[in-house]
Amino acid sequence: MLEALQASGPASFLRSSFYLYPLLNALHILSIGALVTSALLMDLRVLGLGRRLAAETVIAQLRPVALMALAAALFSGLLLFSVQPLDYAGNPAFRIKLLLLVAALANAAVFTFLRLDRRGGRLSALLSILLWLGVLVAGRFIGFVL
Amino acid sequence: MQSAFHRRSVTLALLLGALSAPAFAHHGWAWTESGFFELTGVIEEVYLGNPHATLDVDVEGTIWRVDLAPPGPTAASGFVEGVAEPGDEVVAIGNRSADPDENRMKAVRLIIGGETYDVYPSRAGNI
Repeated sequence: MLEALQASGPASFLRSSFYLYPLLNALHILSIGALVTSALLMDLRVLGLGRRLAAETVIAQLRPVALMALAAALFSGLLLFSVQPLDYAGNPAFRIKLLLLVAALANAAVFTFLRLDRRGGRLSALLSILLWLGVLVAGRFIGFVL
Repeated sequence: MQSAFHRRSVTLALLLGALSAPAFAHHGWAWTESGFFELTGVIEEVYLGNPHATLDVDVEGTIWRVDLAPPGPTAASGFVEGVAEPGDEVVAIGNRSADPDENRMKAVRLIIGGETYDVYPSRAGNI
């Protein structure tokens, strides 16, 4: 499956493109920035910071931003991955990033769909901050480990 | 609550693990030794794409990964599709990984079939 992805048209094109690869990198950074920032702003409000706006208002405003940014990050990330899928699949930082990403998404789903009490919501928000920052840091290390 | 606390501990452990991983490879030169290093072997595989071009080089049965520049500068040095094939002998001059157990280097100059390719011309002047 990874070989098929590697041999696909978009992957071959990206491998040799002078402009598209860095532009896709830029889209990936932009979407991760928007995703992590909107997640952190929601988390901090749940934790009690910035009470000028109701938590429901903050979440209603930022959740669609986070979801759009997530879609863009997954799209650009999959394309970047396709350039050298075998290398990335074996990269420890990439593996940790994916684990943290799955955990962060599961945590967001728990917060969204389960009726957590106040304490549970705060724990989830704290966990969210740690997990999203973990995704960010692990992602940055991909280029520096074998 | 117990399980949430447990998950948080696992996360912290993962985070610390990610931060303290032996974190040196292909970006920049920080992971390499400062003195020049020369590697001679037989090309096993040529990769000319993003984010970096690379060679896999067989040195008496050990495969070395030789990082080159990004595709643009690598091509500008004359090292393009077709100038090197698996089976060709290569001399790579550059900086090796500071980790003695890691068979990896970053090349500044390649010599293949009598042709010289300076993939990092600004550094090649110091060879």
